[in-house]
Amino acid sequence: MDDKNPAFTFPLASDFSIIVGNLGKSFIYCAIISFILTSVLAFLHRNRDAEDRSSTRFSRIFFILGCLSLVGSIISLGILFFTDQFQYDYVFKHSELGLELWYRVAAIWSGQQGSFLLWGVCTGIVGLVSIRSVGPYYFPYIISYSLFLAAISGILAYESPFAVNDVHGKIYVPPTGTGLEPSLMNYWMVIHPPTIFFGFAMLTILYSWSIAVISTGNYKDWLAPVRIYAISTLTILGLGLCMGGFWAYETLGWGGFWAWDPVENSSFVPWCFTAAFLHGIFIQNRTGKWQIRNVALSGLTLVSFLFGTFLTRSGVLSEASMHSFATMDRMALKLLIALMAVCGTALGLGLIVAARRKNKETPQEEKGSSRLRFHYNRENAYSFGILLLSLVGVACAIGMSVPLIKAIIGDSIAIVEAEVYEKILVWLYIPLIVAIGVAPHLSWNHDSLKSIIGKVWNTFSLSIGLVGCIFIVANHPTWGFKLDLDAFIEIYGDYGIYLVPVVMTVAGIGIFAIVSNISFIISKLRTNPAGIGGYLTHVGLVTLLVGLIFSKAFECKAKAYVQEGKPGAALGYIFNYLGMSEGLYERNNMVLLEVVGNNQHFQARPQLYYTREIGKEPSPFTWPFVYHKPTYDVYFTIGAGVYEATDATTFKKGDDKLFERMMIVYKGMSKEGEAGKIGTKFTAHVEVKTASGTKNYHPKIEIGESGLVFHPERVDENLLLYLQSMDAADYSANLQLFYIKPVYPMEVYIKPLTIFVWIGTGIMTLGGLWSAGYRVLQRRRLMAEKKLFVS
Amino acid sequence: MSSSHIRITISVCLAILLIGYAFVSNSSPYVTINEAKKTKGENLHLAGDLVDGSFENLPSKKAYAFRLKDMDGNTIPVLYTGEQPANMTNVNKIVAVGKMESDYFLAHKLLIKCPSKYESEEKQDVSIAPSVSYPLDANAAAKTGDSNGR
Repeated sequence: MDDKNPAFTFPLASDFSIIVGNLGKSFIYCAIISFILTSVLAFLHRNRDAEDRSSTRFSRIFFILGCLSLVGSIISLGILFFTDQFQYDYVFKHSELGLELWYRVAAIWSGQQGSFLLWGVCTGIVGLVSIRSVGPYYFPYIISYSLFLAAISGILAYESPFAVNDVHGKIYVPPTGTGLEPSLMNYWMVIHPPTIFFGFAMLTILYSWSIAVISTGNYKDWLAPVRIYAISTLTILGLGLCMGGFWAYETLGWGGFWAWDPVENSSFVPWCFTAAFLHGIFIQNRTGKWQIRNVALSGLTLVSFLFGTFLTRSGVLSEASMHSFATMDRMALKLLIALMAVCGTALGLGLIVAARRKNKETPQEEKGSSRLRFHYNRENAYSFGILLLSLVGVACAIGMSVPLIKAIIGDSIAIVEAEVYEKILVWLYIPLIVAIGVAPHLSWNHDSLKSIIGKVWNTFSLSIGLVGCIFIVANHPTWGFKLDLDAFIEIYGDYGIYLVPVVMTVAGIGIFAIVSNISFIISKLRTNPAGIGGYLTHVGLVTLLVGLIFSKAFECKAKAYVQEGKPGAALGYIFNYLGMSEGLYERNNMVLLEVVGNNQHFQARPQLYYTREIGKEPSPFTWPFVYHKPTYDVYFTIGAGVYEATDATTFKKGDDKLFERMMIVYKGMSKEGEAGKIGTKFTAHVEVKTASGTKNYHPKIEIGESGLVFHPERVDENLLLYLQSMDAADYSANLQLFYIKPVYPMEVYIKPLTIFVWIGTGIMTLGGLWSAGYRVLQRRRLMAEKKLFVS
Repeated sequence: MSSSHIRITISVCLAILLIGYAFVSNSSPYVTINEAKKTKGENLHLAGDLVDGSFENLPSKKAYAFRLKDMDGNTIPVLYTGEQPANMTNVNKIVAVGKMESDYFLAHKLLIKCPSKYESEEKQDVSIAPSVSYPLDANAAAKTGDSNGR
């Protein structure tokens, strides 16, 4: 036994903490058993009346028990975090003594195990809500849903956040943990993961509906309830994606909202399929078509997400993502792969069976009449939009799979840069936005091209006017954001195109779509205000996209260096260093900078502090500062203070070197004492010539008891001259100048019209909530009138 | 399936193939040092370990230099022209994005993999887990970070 192990000096864990941990673990096993029992009971009772509560009672009870167990498990984990139970490995690695309350909440889902638990809990909660409205689909729906939750709970059994560190059977409590990753200590970490995981959880609803529809062969009655979930999923997932973008922009200093990172894409792909599915519902509602395709789209939402989860969590993309995930437990990873394979295969086989069954049921004459005829109507516009949305989803899925594809074909790993995504997806974006702009003007019947042009002409003209206004604002001396009219995009060799007209055209199409939908909303407000949600969502989405295009394409960027008493300059601004707000080792420390220029005067406060990790050297951590103006953001990132004024340079006797406005001349070396003996000193004789005269300096190296001791010479109020090393053979010296007051490197960006991104997100969310709220109220009213099934 | 449906299906499949080809052919390869020397491109991804103690600031070039050791065991000097990334002192895995110059790799972007706060790939041995030294000598650590790197 290793009695010197410091763990033996730690206090033993209390019974309470052990009980809570065991309870959390037991809840997970309870959830597995409950969900398996739910599916078994539902399977045994599948021929009973699904709308008779007595026949669904037992499976429902076990399902509720399973979901509550998952909630109980996360509450147990929360208690471990809030009571500092560092004997638990997960708590030890994600929390520390004195961690603020909200960061403890964030810490619960900041690691691999906790985020899986959050996924399971969210899926359980939305599952409890959803089973109330599945009516005749109850049995296949709950079998699919509970098997999925059983698999997630199974993953949690292996990827458990309740693993405890024991030493020879005894559990000691370390005094603190290693703390939460600094970049995660942010309010976005508190609200972004629960939002996006609720979105992910709702994908299970859409998938289970698709399986239930295939099983029952009832393609009609699911539309009303699933529509509400599709709208809610789209809204919550969209909001979660936007929150992630704001987090990256405001806090992480990635320099933009969206980086086409695999983790971002794995959330974006299901969003595309959900949007496509929602529009498919509209077509089916109106025309009765798209029955099988809607089932496919509904199921694909979850399957694509599972594929993304597999790519990002399995380590396949470990080199290719800015996100860092720990490698999963092998058994948990196998379960995740099996879950993905089973979900994908079940959907694929189900769709084949459903398509064959449908083909047999369809009379011969209807098959002949299913020949497509092209009409300018809303159905075709929606179909076109669905096709494009699905292609965007497929394209992103392919893009993030490139490392896997390369590995499969035996090539060296490669990744897709953000620019490649943008260059490829713009070809899908343009027709998609045109469809969003034109669709409100189309009827469900047939319009002539001439009448459509007549309808959109005013909108189009107004859009061109608005683009002109933006161009004028962009060049305004106070409000403008420095458009570089000479910027050129190379397409092939020396051939290319000017940036400004290209971006104005692409954004102009978006503005056309915004104006078109706003005009439609205004006309609808009088007749059917409840139905404007979808159009509002379109306005928000396109506003957001236009904001992203402007902020990325017209971004200006420059480097600056700032030092106490020595201002820096970039992009028409001058930066004066004012000091630190709290101290370099305080987490909320900010570098205070007075910014003057471009008719503005404000204080910039980018954050910089040094982390103090156990057993490691302090390491700088920075967060950007964003100064919001109505028409653009001024975005600052700051680097750690730099002390080196020159490179370490070897001088031979008589060598000179110019640094700023001083000439450094090395005159020679002298030695006091015997070489290799303690106390021996080597002195470099250096002459520094400036405009005010010539001075001599004598930096030294002394051989001390525990190594070399440096004795620099102060050259002026902010410079130290060090003798770094010397060569006794040729008496050459390695000299270096250091600043006493550090220089802070900065990157300054002007990001135009980012306000569109914020406004767009708000409008999009509002539109989604409006739509979902309206549908819920409508459904309740119909239920009260007993026009719909009530389970 | 009617002929128009077949035509649409074929068109969609062709579109997907085209998109796939566009992504794969425009992807940026991860290369070893030997491969980097033979490959042209501005966005080569050179992955490797940061050689201990090799990271240095080059104020004259407004750049940073370090040595990278790739999976074949070869090392190369890397000149990085961007801002010093946060957490640089705790980094071991680095992906340098850039191009090959005559005898060094010129990087305009660094992708940092910092495992310090995330779980290690292997399960930590429980007998050493609590043996982390406590408490940290905050003042000593602070001095190291605030001094001029010496």
